[in-house]
Amino acid sequence: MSMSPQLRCLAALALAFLGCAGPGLAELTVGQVAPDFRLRDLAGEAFALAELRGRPVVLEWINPNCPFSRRHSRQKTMQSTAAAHPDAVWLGISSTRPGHGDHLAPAEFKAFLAEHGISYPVLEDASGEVGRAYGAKTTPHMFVIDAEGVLAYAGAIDDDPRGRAVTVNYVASALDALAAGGRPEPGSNRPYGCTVKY
Amino acid sequence: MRRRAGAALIRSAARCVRLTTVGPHLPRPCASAAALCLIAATAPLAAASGDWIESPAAKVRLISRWSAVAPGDEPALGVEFALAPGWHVYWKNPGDAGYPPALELRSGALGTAELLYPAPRRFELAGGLEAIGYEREVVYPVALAAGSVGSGGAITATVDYLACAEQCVPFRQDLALVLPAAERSLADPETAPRLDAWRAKVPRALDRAAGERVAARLEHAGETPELELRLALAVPGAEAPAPALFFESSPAWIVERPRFEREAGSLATFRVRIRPRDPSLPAPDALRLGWTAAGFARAGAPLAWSGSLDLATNSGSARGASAWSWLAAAIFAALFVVVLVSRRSRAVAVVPR
Repeated sequence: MSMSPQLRCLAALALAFLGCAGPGLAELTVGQVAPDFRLRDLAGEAFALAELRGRPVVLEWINPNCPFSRRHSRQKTMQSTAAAHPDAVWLGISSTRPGHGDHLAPAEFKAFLAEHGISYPVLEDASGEVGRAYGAKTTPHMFVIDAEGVLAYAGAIDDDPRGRAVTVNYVASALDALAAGGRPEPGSNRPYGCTVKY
Repeated sequence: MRRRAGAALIRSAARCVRLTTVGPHLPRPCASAAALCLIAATAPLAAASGDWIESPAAKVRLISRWSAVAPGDEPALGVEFALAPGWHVYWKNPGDAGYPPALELRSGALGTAELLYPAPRRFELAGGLEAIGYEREVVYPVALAAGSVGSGGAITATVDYLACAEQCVPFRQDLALVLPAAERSLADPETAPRLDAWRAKVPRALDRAAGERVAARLEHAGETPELELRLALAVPGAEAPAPALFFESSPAWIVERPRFEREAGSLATFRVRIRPRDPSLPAPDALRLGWTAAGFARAGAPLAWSGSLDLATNSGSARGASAWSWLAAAIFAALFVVVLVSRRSRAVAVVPR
């Protein structure tokens, strides 16, 4: 069976298109509208991103069984950054798959939060759908969304993956930049931590 | 249930490791593990390898190629990991999470140390995530600052590493090695071949004199500011049994997973999508990326190369704009011609016979 040149060209294009769809997890980039979501927190209360317009929103991917989330909980990194920026809405999100060794039942999760004085809501994304929509790769992976619902910062909480000496808290700087009417710089960097347990 | 118990053990071990470096205030469950660590760390005997420092994830030690070293010779060190099943440690670009080990030498005479990275492998993780590193075992050869020489005696170092399986655990451990001094350096029958073998797995630069070539080209992949990099290797006499391409981390670019293509005339061709990490900033006008190509062989011996790219990007947005302006110019020219032709024909029409 011979193929017309047009058909062959179409087939090549289709193949090229299919080949482009790599298996990786695509990360949401700065300047894109943050995908809306509706998730419940550990107490069962529903949160929708669309209903939070008008205030900056911080999303923190969290896993209490990941040493990076634990270290920041112990060092009060997130708690103190949230407290210093009361205008922003801070939400933890757990995309840990139920059945994974790291997954915690709500009661255990709540005990962890209470032990570390974490009072912001933690939303359950058991299907991982929201994590995938944002391209959340690590715990903690941080996303700062501006008051208009546009992604303003994505990346690490700070420049200290090894927990030796922090020089910049990127989320604090991003929130400060937004409060001053500017854009965070850098808008994005590489997050660090454990992988999200999808 | 067993997973939970495992997790608890790992957590307590991780706490121990952290606490052993901080001070003596150990919680009870840690005491025995810490005691073991301490016993292991005290008074190593002179040898080409230090004692293994163990954790539930891995054991790690410092090794030298020499069982005795002459004054003036470099001690030829390596950091050897033996990993528990399912655990991995990282390459210099760890992938989507994690970080590579860092070595800090505490023996003043040796100056700074940098780890060299043997060709790694890719680990596919749940959720489309990837890790780049090593499982089972790896020796990271140590590159010492130029002019760094030893003369036998104790070498102490701290290694800071992250090991991951289902879970990730950071460790910070003290390593020690005592190298006897001798008039002539003596290769150790066990460690010298091992260190040499791992050193051979560290990618080398392409040998241009031997006709080894890399050709790299950037193309604009439809949507600005995304780019497609095509990297083709041509190496005489080499085979590609398991070709893989890795890139070093870049603060400016998000580099997707390379796709391998077999093409006539090249040993291996890879295509990879690249986009600016922060599209709100002006696109960088150059793409600078370190690459490593591994999984090649010649006469059965594994081969890996590394190099760095420095390609002009002609800024994605500028290229996009120029495409649009070409289109606009073409439309304008076509309109001009149409108008011209129609006016001329009208002019022809009004000429009285």
